[in-house]
Amino acid sequence: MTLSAPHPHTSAPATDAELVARWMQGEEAAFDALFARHRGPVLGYASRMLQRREEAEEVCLETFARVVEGRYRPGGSFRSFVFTIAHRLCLDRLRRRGRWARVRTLFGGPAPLDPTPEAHALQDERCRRLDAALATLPEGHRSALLLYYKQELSSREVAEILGITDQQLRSQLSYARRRLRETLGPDDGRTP
Amino acid sequence: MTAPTGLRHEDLTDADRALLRDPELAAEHERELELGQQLALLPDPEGGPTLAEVRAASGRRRRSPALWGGLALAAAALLAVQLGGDDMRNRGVPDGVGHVSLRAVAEGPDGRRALADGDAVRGDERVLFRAVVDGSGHVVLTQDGAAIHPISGRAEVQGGPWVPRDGGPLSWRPDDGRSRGEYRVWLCPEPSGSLDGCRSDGLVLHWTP
Repeated sequence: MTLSAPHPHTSAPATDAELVARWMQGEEAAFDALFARHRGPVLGYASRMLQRREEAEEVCLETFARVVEGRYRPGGSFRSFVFTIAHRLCLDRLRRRGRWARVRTLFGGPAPLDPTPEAHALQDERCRRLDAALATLPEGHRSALLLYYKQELSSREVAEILGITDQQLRSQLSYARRRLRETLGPDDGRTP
Repeated sequence: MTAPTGLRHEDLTDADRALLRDPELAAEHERELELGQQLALLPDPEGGPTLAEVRAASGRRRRSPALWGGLALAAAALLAVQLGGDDMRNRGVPDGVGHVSLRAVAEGPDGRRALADGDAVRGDERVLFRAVVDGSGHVVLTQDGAAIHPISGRAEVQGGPWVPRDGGPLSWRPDDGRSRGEYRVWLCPEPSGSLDGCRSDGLVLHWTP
């Protein structure tokens, strides 16, 4: 059975909750579908947080390895669970980069971007500018923007992942959007 | 209080929606949402780890606890001999605070080996830590004084082994060019605050190319 295809009993693709339920009942292919669905977003999140493709791949690998180990307990959303792991792994690595990396961030300088194949493949100049602007944000604000807008998690889920209150999240999002606009320029980076 | 501009409809409260009836705020709200939509359209990268790699990594992690026991015992014997300097550091710690010891193992292409204070770790190895706690309290692992696990706060322990990050392999090699790192586990009576009054045990590792 191909799980990227619609569930046999419905016309819509299986939801995460449905796939998780089937996986819990021993249907390994259901996990394959969950992995296929979330690998790109997790890798994208880690890439933008870490700005290093190799480390991002390691985070992505470890995130799903932990999921396979059966630490997921149905309750919250699967996506929120996956991004909680990925976010913590990213933070681990950012913390470990040492004092000089932290000093660079404190002074607001952009973290160095590896010339990844994806970066070269980004045809859209606007996306490239947006990515570059994101890289200049402090990690806390970058993660808030990415989780809320890029991953479209709810404000409650994002606040839980970041370990902050809803009000703090609103404040972080507001500050981050302002910083992003300042970096992008008056037209939000629409004109290259 | 921060204005609710830029939040998606489902995340707004009734009070937020009432605020956004103000034309100026509403216009700002639309602009912020538009910026959010641009972020949502950022592409995800292609590639990444495969399912086979994920399952293999998970298998490696599952096998690791069995190896831990023997290696940790060997490391403990070595550390007990070589870390006498920690007695000095722990002078003045209240009697009510239990004891803690830190053990480390390097994992590389040639397998695993116990690490002792002052040992060298090669660039192709990574280090796994484990602490043994005698007594209850709150623990944190630091690298050169900065918390690395947990990153914020401390983990509550009731005595026995404490394995950072559930036993997952850790790679603490500093990537800022430092060749030496001091790793220390702290057992504290309180879940937060100063490390004064916490008992600790640690080791120095030297990273080689």
